[in-house]
Amino acid sequence: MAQTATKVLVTVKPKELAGRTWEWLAITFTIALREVRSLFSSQIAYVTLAFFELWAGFFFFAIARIGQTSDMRYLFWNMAVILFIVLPMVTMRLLAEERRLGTMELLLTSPVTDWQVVLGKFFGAYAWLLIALGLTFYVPYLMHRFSGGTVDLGPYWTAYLGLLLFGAAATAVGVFWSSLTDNQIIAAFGTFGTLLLAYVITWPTEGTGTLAEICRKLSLYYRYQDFTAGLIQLKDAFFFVALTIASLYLAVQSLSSRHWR
Amino acid sequence: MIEVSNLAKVYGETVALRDVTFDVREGEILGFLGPNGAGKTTTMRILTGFLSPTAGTAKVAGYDVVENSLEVRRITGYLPETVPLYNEMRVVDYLGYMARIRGVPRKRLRDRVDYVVERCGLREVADRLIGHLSKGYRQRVGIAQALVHDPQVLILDEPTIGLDPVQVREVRQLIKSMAGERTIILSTHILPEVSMTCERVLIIHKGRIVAEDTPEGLSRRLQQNERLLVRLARVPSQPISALSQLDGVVRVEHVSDNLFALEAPPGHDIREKVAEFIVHNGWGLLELRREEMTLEDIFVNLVTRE
Repeated sequence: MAQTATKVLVTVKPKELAGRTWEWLAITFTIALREVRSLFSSQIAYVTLAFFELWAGFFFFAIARIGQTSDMRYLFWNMAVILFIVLPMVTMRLLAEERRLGTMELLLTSPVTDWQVVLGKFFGAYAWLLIALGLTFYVPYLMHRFSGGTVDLGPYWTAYLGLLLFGAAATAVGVFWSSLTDNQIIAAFGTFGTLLLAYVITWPTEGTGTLAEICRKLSLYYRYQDFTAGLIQLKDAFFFVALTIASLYLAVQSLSSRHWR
Repeated sequence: MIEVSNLAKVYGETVALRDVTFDVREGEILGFLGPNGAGKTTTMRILTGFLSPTAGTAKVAGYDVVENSLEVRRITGYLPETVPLYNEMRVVDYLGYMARIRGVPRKRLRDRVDYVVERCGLREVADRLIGHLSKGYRQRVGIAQALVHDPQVLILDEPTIGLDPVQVREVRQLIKSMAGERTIILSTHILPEVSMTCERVLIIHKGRIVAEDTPEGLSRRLQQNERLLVRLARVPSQPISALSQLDGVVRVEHVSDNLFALEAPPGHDIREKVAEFIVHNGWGLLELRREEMTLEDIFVNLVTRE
């Protein structure tokens, strides 16, 4: 008996484990895909995309045409700034809407874990960000084309990497706020307020000192800044990833709280 | 199939369930009767793994609803009272999505969706947006999603609420047609619904089970007097005293101009005698029926007995 058990452990388990992991991811992807479809069947996705692109285009135009420079730091900086206004509109409905409609009850009585729900929602909203950023790829393209290939595109790609990391953290914060309430306005405002705070937190404490240092460490924007200058700081990248995971973890806890409330 | 023992649930200061114990056999349809706030929904939410009990245990097919929650959810279909649907989705897409997250393998997806669309009479609206459907169709979509993963256990919270009489009948027939095939718990506050669909009834009140029986047994047990309603074409001059002469009639009530209520002691079926008597006297028997006790009556009885 013991021998059979060992044999089963060795020969069947890895395959079964892989199959289960695959299924786990596939279901999470199903939830994410439904979210994307739902997002793009409402006007919100289009209005937010339009404003994001308009804003980015406006800055690109201002810098390239009036500033006559290939230094796009301000453009990428402002893309992150506008995200704190636009992203809450995208993330507010994620879980709050399910709560309001009651579909949350179906989702959470299906054989999916709370993590799958939260991750599905996260990736659903993250898809919006990927599309939004993808639509700004004309910037590196035009700069490359019209400079005859002399512009160093390196800082652009690091800025995009920074936006992906920053955006993941901001989206996760949105998922968390959306998990707290069935009111989308509260979810949006909470996300907006949190990101705004992360933006302005360094303002009153410019310079040196422990307080200023702590504020900078907490500021998403401060950490993002280096990416726009072509620098990839591992500790900043790590910070964004950690913040993403922490926010999603809190969202999972918030969903699970129904059991003990 | 379902074993619930000493289940209790407390929300903050409110006690929603206290010490609820019951079993449901495989293939049985169990009715859950009680007024709003009695604890029906809370019990169902615990059984489906949405909430955890404060105390006690519940098992579905041998799986504990807390420890093996995912296994329980895999074999359970659930229709919450609010019939939660995504309005922006088409019926087939919604059912496909629900089937997927309920763990139906991709290659069986089409068959399962086709099956529930057919079974729940959704063929003609299959490609419509859920937001454009009538209440009756929405309810059927709700039942379809509960069935889509071929669950052994079906939990339906007020499945006929808000439907028109024709739709109510259709939904009841649908539920009844699954008898023996699946284990079903359905909650309601309409007694005829229970008598028509369920084999056994639990009455739950203030978080406690106050009665458990077959629908007939329950009516019989709680009915104080048999009540017959008779409608006459020609009302005699002294109707009350005339009808009171009948053997076994203990009370006569003049309900409206030609409608009378006759009461007999519990267990006495006086219908035949009443019919003969009226026809014999040439009063013209237009209608004769037994008055069913409503849940309210039963409830009042149960509560006043406590």
